Amino acid sequence: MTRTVGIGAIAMIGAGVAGIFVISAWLGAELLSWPEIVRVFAEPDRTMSRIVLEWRLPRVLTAFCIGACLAMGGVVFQGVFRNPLAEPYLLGSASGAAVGATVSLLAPLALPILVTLPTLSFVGAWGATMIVVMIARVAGVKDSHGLLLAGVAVAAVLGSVRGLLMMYLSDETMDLKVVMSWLLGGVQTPHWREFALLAGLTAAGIAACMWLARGLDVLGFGDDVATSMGLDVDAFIKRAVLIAAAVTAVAVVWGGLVGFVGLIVPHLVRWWLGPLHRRLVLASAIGGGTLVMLVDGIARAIAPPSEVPLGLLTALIGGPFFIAVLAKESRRWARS
Amino acid sequence: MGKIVIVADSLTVAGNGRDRLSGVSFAIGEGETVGIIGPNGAGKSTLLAALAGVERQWKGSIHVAGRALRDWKRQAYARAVAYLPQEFRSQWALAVEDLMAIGGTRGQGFGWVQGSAGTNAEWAFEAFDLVGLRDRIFNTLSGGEKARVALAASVVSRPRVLLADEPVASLDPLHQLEAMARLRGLAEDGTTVVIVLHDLTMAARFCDRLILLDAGRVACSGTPDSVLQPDWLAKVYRIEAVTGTHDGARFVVPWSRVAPNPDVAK
Repeated sequence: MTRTVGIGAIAMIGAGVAGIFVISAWLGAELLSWPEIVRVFAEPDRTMSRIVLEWRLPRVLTAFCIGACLAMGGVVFQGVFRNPLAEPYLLGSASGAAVGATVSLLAPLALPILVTLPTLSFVGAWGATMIVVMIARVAGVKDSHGLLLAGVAVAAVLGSVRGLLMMYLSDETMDLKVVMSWLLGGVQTPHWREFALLAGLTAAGIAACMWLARGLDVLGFGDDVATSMGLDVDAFIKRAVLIAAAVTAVAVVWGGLVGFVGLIVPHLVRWWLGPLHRRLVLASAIGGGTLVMLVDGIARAIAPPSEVPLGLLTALIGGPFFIAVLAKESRRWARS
Repeated sequence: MGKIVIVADSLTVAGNGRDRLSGVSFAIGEGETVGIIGPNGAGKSTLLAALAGVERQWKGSIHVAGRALRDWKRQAYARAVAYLPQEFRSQWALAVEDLMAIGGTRGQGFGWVQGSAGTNAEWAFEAFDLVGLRDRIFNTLSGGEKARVALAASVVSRPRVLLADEPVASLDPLHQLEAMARLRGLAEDGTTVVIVLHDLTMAARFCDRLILLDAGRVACSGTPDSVLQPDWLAKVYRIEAVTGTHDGARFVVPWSRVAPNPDVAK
């Protein structure tokens, strides 16, 4: 059953991901014809070729990395909190990252933005998650609904903090519309060099989440069994939250606030491949990357030349999905 | 009693108001099956959790295989001592085979390195009659099947000691007998088995020795015959029981409560 992922299936997935990659690169304000796609590589100096090579390709790959990070953040949060509804957006981590990012974008800081943006986003994501964890602990929240409610509350407060920061820190030189559209979720289009940084961070994120996989597996049996199987539960949870906050921050820095990817993707992967985390992390990274790549392509193609914010589209799919999972979980709790 | 494996000395666990365990001492030998019995709130689960290293707020001393519990390395202890809590559950919809694989990695650490899963899982599938359940999802199994899987997953890596908290409480009589026989079989293979039990007949039939706890203290311990005496049952459980022997083993059928009289079992 869960062990029979054959070579055929892997080949199919590979072809699917590659196909969506091509489609997403093809989508945009100006659609390419097939001969033109070939000419992109044959004649890289043409205007259209340059658009594709210097703009669309890094953008599509960036979308992939963002999706991979969001989905892995979802996997780790769900595993740590043993709650299939946990994900970076709903737990307030993404909101924390957004506050950090807003500060680094708007406040006059001494360090270059390439340093402050990731750093502050990470600090924000980690801080917000730890606040949620502490509220849940102090309030004695045992069930997972309570944890999510704490996350929603923290996200609401951080949202208004972010709004206030934007009001007071912005001036004529800063175009708030840029910040706004970023907050609604939209894939940045970095230069190739910056993309290399993102790719490196994403790869490190995958490695770190894979490293957590076995701990997440035994954590699913409860703290006591996990402890008796040799896991230092408290230390592990702190480590896992740190890593999940880091991948969330990476996603927020390059993609803004994109919700529900971390919910939808792990859920579908678990349904298909089973819940073992080793497989779940890797497959979710690929699945999340592919999903955001596709949705980002659609966001560019719906109403050119303007783009529909990515976060709006994912929420449009994710909201109903969340309700469906919630209904299923509530039935399960009612039974047990 | 063969070689001593577990020694607890003056084990005390503080609780709200009164100690959950207070000055508990005993020794358990290799390959013994020892039942921990006593009324609700006597401290049975606390005792097991302390031995498992799950409950850490205790005073006194616990030695396992000659080494103080606090001196054990985390992974080494996990390899040596398995713990099965009262209700084993899985948050995720794991297949039985995967659950057994995870069980097989007990004490193997949690890095990238894959534990040696699967190398010795087959014997457990056979021994616990799980071959037909291999591909089933744990959460969808019946109570008896779940208990069998949980037990198998706890011992698949062949720990030296199994600590099981009421492993048969939720099972029907047939499955209770089966599970107890399996535990007994483990002990005969050299595993030291410590089980919390409510069913006194099961305790008498399948355990070499019983430790009777009362309000956090050891009321008495010894062979089932010596512990399951009417005066102890009256004093600790506050019951009168019908007892007898069948096939050489004692049976205990709780029959009525005794009047609250502290002098009954003097």
